[in-house]
Amino acid sequence: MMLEEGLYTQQKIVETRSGLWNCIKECSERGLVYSVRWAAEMLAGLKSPNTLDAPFSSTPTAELEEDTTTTNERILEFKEETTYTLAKAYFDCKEFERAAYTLQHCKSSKSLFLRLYSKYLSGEKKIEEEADTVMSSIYPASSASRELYSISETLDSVQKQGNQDPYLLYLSGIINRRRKQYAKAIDFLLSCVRKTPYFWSAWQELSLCLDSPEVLASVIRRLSNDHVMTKVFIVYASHELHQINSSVYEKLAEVDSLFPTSRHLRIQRALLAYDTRDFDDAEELFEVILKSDPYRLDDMDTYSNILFVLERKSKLGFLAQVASTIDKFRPETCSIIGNYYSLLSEHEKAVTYFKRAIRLNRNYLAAWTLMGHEYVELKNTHAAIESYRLAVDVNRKDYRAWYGLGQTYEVLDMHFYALYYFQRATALRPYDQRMWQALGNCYEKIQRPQEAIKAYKRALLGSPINSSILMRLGNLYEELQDLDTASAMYKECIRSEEEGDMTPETIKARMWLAKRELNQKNYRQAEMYVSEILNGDLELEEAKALMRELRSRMEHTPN
Amino acid sequence: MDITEMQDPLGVSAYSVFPIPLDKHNKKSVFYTKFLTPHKFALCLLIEFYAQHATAPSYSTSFLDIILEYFDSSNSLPQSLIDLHNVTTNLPSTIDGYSIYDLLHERLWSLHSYEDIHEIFMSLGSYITNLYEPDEEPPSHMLFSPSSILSIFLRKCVVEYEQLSFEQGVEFFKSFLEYRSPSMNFRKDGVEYCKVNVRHELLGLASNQTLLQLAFGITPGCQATQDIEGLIQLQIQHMQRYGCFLPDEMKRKLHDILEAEGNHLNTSYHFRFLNAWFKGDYQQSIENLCRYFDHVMHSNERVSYQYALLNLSILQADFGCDKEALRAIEDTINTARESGDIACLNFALAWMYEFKRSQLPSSKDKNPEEENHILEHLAINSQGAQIPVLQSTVHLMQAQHYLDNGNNLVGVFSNLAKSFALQCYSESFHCFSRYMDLTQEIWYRLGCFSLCFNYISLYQNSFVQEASIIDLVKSYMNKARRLFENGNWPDVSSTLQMAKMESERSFQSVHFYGREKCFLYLDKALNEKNYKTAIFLLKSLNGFRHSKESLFKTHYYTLKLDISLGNLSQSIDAIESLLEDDVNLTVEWKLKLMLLKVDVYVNTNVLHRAIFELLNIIEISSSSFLRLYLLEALCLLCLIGNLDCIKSTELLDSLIPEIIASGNKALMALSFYAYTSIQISNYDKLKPSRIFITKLLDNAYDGYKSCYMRDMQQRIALLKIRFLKQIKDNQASRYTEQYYREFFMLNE
Repeated sequence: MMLEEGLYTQQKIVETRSGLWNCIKECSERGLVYSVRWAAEMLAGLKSPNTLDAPFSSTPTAELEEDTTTTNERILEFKEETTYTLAKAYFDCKEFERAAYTLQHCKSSKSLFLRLYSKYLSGEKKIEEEADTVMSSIYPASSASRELYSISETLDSVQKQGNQDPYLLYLSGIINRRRKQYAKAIDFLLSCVRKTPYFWSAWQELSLCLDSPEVLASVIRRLSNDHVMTKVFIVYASHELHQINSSVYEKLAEVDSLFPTSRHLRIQRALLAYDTRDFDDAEELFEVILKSDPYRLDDMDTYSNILFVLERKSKLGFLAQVASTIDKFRPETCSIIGNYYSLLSEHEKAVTYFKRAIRLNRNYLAAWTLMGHEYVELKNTHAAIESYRLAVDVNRKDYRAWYGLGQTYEVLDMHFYALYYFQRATALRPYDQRMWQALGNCYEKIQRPQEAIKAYKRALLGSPINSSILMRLGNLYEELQDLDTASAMYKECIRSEEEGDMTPETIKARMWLAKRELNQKNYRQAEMYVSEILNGDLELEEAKALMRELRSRMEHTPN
Repeated sequence: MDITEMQDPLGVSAYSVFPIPLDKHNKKSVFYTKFLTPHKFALCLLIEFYAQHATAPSYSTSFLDIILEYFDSSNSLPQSLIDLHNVTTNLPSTIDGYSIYDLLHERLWSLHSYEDIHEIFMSLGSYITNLYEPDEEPPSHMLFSPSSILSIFLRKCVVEYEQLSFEQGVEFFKSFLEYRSPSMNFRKDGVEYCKVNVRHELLGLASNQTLLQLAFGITPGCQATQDIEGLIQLQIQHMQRYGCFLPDEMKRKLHDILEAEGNHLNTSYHFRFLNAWFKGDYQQSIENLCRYFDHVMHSNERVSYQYALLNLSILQADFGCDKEALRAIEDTINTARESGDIACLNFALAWMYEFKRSQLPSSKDKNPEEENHILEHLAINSQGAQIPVLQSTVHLMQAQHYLDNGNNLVGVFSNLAKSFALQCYSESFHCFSRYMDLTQEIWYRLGCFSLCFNYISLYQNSFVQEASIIDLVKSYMNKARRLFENGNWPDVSSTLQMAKMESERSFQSVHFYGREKCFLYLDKALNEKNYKTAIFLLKSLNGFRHSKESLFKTHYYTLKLDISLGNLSQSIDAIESLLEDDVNLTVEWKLKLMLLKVDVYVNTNVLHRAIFELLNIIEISSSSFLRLYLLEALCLLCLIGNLDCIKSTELLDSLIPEIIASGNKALMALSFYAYTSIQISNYDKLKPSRIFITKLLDNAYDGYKSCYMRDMQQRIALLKIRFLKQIKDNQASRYTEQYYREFFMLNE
């Protein structure tokens, strides 16, 4: 049994290795550098095969099993090799239109992909060039959208002729996503990943098409459950959708056993910790990652967010110094420096760096949101709203931007308007207490206590007890004249306080309860609450007065 | 890496991960700021101590002295922590047992990362009155008035810090680490100070060598461009004032700053231009001049094209490109006129006038009217322009003009007096050298050796620190010339030594010194009849650049040599042709040539012509106040004129005191020679005493000897022998023998 299992694992390792190698080769030929980098990283992190257990075969298998379509493709590719090499050279030099023009008469799927991909990238470049200001719309209406249409038409006609090249499918997926036809995009990308499971960019694109956990679940159903890439994708997409649960960790552990030293998986683990707001763990994980790969800048902006939340000034400064030495013109570096300035309360400088990050990459979501936060700090609500809006435009799943929008409208006393944004945020983060609390607050402000109570109760669900929420609930019940429930809430609030740590909320709760007990003539009970207040560090006149009143009443009351 | 926990003065757990800086082997890079440097940051901390009453009240004044002294960039004090340590280590603070340096050290070593510095900069504003909210409770520390020098300094530092980008801020922090690092070796009572430099939270990341290298790998030195610019300006002022290139030692020290890749200060080009100019590197100086003006006109509106042209023309002229210089100065004048820059126009005109005066122009360019017109124009305009330097210069130019023409002694003195008064009034002594030169010149002409020499000595004793090199060398050469004429050759040699030493500081003065020294030696060689040397020296004069005057001098000595060699007809033709150039010849040169003519006539025994020339000389020299020439002509007239012996004797009698006062040994010897010659020729009639004649002859002999005039010595010796024979003195034979030994055995 053990041997069988071992053989199975070995086979899996060999398959994965060959799949990754194949992907590296194909993606390199097509200029898909990020996929190559990812695959190479995964390959480096793959468990070493035990050569003794490996099945031995003296004859190659895959090459002989090719069908006629593949053979024809190979012949075409061979014929077009020179032209393709020339076009690829132009492509590598970022002369996209020149590359596309060179390949205009080529027929093979590989050439077609490079031609259309070049066109697509050239369109993207034009968008960047046309966007003259940082705060302008992300996708300006221009020739670039016409470019998308023409690429889409070419792809459609090719696919109608039965060409199912995975890379062309991937391109179709991108185009459809850009044209906001998410369902179609998902279809194309699923077809693509079924054919080339180790092609990471396709998975990333697929994740971008998902806007809710339900869609993710439906996509997972259409994928092969036991393939390692499905598991990697689930981990990645769950993080992107901020939907972390135990099954995600299970999947991560499964993949981890195959790729024990993978940097990608280590980062995923750290990101999951960040998503679950386990900042201490996340910080530790990121520190280990940075130490093992000191020149890494990818995801270091997230590390800087963690350091910001934990107020680790020196560490964040050190990280910023390191990042700026490695490459000061990377959006991640700018974002780290922006965070650092924000922590130093230099919000204007922070905005400058976030703007720089956006100039370097207009789709750099984190910077938009963070810039919004900085504008809030600078009391520039209009700019903040615009920044958050642009962040949402880039990624509709960014709950921080929705939440920020809601908060900004709250600052402007537009509580009813803010409600919509908080609802979006709660939809994206159903287990995040802050979102529900904000929603509850909004309902409270617009005099809808019933909904507010529901929201606050939802905030407490599955989250640690929060005394201020309980206090709010108490207040709301008091307003609704449901004094017993209010009293229960206040008592719960007092119970939530940590050892000897009296907070303003718990003091208020005690005062309320003391007064209530006083009114109900439960003097001993009332005295207990008041003396608890007076035994604390804070000396409250109101508590003293209450105590005096209590004593006088007690004196005038026989036993 | 050793990480050791240290005692942190602030009580925060912090660790030492030194060595930071890590790279000791790499060439130090430099981080340039505008004003702010780590040293100035340390001064901010000192000011903070002062504001927080940390300095002992009795030492506040000396403490403030240190601060004020250190942030005055013009005094160019070294900006290192070691220097700050040396001056503050003995200043007590209000905390017992702690000096100001102890406090500073603790403060400096409590700064572990960039944000610590950031916080300090952000807090500095609270020490300035108007930045503090009036409603708030007044703080316990001192508040500086916004206009106080301390708050201006603090503000300058904070403003610059706020303008730094993150990368620059980090560089600044790293340069601060570099600045602070020498204090690792400081000790208090033999015990090391603390060395804490990393916070606990950073230990994890900082333990990784690669990360540490990335964060703190290269710690640059920091230099403020304002300080560098101040330093360069100081050098430029030095070079402009003294007209010399930078001494090698100083150049070496400045090298790193000036040659640094990041250093693109306009002033550094100006500096390079001047240095190349004074080193005689024409190509480099032109290149740097153009580069300087190309850059500076972009950044400084006050500097305009006319100044670039003015500088160019001066440069061209200095390197002997006369035509180019003239064209450049004409362009300067036109541009200055167009832009209405009166000051530049006047300077350009003054310079053009000077240039034309000192150069020998081709005949077609020469227009004396134009020069006079320029001078008149300047005389009128300089008054209106209210530029004392220019006014004073114009007065000196006028004095020079009168001296050249030689007919207006009052004009010379009045202009000199006006120029001096203006210099005193404006307290600007840029043209003091020229004033002194002209003053000694006029006294020399008037035959007053002691005054002339006094003026030279006065200038050299009192103004040597202020004078430009070329002026100083000129003054030394004048002194040497006067001493030579005074027959004091040992002093001439020592003066030349000093002149040589000074002259080596600039290319121009080296040339000037070489040329003038050649003339002096040439004079001596001709006197000694050492023709080989004379010919060699005349040839070597070709290697020097010449002005109009030095060209005349060369012609003059060539003629003298020709006459000595006996090429008399050729010489007389040459003298005649030179005398025809009436426009370029000053009166003095005219007289010199006429005296040469007399020499030729005497040598050819055409005495009536010689007498005629002498009468001419007497007329011109007396009207031009050229007293030395007048005296010489009169002596010669007495000698060859066959005048009435009694009248001649009386005339010479009256002249000899003046001649002695003129300090010219050759002239004195000539007068004695003439006197004795008349006395001997008319011995029967005049009956002079033997001892009187022999004494005079001995004096004349000594006078000629001190001037190395061998033929005249011979002549005097012969006259003495003849005289002794004439009076049948038994000493005659002894003198004859002596004469033979002196003049013939030596020659053999």
